[in-house]
Amino acid sequence: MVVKGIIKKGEYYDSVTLMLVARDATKLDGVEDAAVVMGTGQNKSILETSGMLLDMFKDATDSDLLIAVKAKDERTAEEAFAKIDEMLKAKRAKTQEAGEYMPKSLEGALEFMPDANMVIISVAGKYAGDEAMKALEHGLHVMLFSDNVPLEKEIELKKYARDNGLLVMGPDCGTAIINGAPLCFANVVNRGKIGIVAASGTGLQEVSSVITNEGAGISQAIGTGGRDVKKDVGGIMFIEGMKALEEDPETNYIVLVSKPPHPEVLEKVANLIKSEIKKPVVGIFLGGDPDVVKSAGAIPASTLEEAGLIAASLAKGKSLDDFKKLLEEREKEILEIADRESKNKKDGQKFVRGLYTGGTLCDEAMLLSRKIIGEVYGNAPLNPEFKLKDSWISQENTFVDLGEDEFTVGRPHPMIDFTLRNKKILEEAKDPSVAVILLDVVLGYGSNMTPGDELAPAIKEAREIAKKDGRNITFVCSITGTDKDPQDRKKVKKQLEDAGAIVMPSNAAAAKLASYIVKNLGGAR
Amino acid sequence: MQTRTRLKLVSVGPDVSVESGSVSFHSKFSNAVNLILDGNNLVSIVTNKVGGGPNNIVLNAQDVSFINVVKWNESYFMINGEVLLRNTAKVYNPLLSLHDVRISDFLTGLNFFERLLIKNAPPLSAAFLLDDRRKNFFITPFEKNLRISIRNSVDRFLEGDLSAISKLKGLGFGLTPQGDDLIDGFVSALVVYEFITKVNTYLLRNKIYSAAETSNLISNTFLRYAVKGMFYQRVKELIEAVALNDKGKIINSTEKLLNIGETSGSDIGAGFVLMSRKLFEGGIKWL
Repeated sequence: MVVKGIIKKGEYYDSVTLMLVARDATKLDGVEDAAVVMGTGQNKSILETSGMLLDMFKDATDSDLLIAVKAKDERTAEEAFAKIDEMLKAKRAKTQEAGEYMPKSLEGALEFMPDANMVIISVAGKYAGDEAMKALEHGLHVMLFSDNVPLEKEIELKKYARDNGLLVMGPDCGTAIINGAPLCFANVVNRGKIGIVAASGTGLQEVSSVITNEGAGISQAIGTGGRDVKKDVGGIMFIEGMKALEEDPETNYIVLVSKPPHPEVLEKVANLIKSEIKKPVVGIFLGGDPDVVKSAGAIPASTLEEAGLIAASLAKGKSLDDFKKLLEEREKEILEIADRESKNKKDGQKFVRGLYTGGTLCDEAMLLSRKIIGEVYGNAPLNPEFKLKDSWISQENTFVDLGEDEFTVGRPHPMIDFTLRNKKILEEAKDPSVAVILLDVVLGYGSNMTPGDELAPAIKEAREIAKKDGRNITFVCSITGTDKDPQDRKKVKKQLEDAGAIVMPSNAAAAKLASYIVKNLGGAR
Repeated sequence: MQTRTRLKLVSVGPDVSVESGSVSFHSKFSNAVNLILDGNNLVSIVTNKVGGGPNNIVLNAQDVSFINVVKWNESYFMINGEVLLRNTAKVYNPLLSLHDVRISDFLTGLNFFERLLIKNAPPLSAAFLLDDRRKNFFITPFEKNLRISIRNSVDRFLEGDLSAISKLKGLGFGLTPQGDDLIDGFVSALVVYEFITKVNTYLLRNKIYSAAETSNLISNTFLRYAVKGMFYQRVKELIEAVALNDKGKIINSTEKLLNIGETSGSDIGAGFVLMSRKLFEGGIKWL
């Protein structure tokens, strides 16, 4: 192990830059530790404690930038210095470039791109509403990524948009696909004839990915934000989205995705389907009554996957019986795998732990599992009586949505940063009552770019922990995404399978498999 | 395509000298250009996002890193050849405007601010001192040693050991290391304590300044102003919002405090919370 250092004089960077540069350097193979700090006396003492205080640093002043690397050999240390230098230069270049080319206001952006007809707004919630109204007044459609926009503001914006022939997607709209362009957290999907209106982000991603994986494609996918279908907003944009797809010449089929809307909103949706929508409509209102959708003349689906399969069958001109056969065969396969996996468990192993990053995916899994194994515990359970006393401590069958606020204190969303979930996986693996660990992996722009690299080692380690105790834990995963996503679904699938996980073709199939294993082992309530 | 609207002066701090004298550049960021006047005084040209300060010249720009040439006199500022009349700008008032503050309101506002800070502070900020779960952000051996040193020094200081200040100063990353910003927060809390309880803290603030003084011009300048009860706009607005327990303003000012792109805001905030709690809930033995 060698310790090497460099002193840079007269170079100043903000603290976040220095932290990130040092952190990235330690990720290099063969680098044990790295520090990039100003040469204050106290920082020198931390370097000393860390075994990185070189003689050359002793006379450095508070204004000197010290770079220290502890690495397996000199060559690795030199590579680390080169990397650090490159990152610091990039930071400088980026700052300068941003100052010259990046518009800093809506007006500036419009000067830069006068033909734009849509704007994505992602600023603090309290400002987002005013920015959105400004955009609408400029005649622009709005995708409002920001959350925490006051309800009254949302209603005002949506009414204004409706009266002026514009769309407001959001607030808290994390995903959309417009004219083939994936926006924010969205997957790279086929272009096609199926339009989606969704009040659920990961629901939209799952349906659009299933459609693409089945060889059909998406014309438009309009997110509305989850609050749109509640009573107060009254489904203003859900309705306008449906109308827009009805008028869109690129769209032949319409899929509606949401948790159950307020009954008044559902009635409006049903009336619109009956009166104005001529195109075939598929509806998935998770946990809602499918008969309401059916009585309006739409095709009801019971899972996100089923909604995607029905729409794909329609678009490809196939009989709806085809997808039913596929699901029947799938069901048989699930039962077979469940039987096989139930046989290799130790006495006492009988519960499932679902560790979810997608809120809607977690809801869907709980709905399906409830039918097979009864109520499950969670931080946001279907039945409030099954709310975990401490969200960090699982009990019996537990499904946790790691995207809830309580888990995201000061850290990125778990779709981006896997650290917390990986830690939870290892904790659950130590519990002798755990038979199955159920995981979702959401691909696409905005999500973690190397999910296989980060999740597979945790699965392997967890399996090792169980193995040392004579146990075998079944890992069941689903991947929401496509082979065209930057992460490449096929590659991620292989990485997870190589780590010993069973990768199911949908969230619904994964949830069912996990539940049947638990049922076989006597873990149902 | 590069376009820039005409510069405007927004405000000038009361400590910005009448004449620029000899100017050299200390450091440049997109939001701030730090200047050294006559070899030892700091003046910063900043964007609206950073806001007013005792020694700040605030421009209506989104980015000030383009500035290469600066000079001024009692009538105008000349920036890259563009003349900005001094009388078009407000004089920034860095003093707190607090009247009849109820301790219960202040402590409730403080709790609310603390929760926002814990949730929103950048990963390696000193906010781990407020919530132990945040220590998990410190991963590398160096980061862990840094965290332990900060924790030990802060604990010692809050237990009444003034010498711990000298262990804290200069500790951490960046232009104003975490330790310096925490000290800034401690001193700010002492000023507020004096405002509310009328207990004189000036002597202690000066002792802290003497123990914390370093060759870091920026840290020294920030701390010197805090000792004098002169605050930068983003800290001033936060303190006033907390004192009134105005949750809307606390959210707004916390966003401004954290939105500068480094950990300084959250570190000052963490120091402010810790010291305020110590003062109002347990008293302070050094007074």
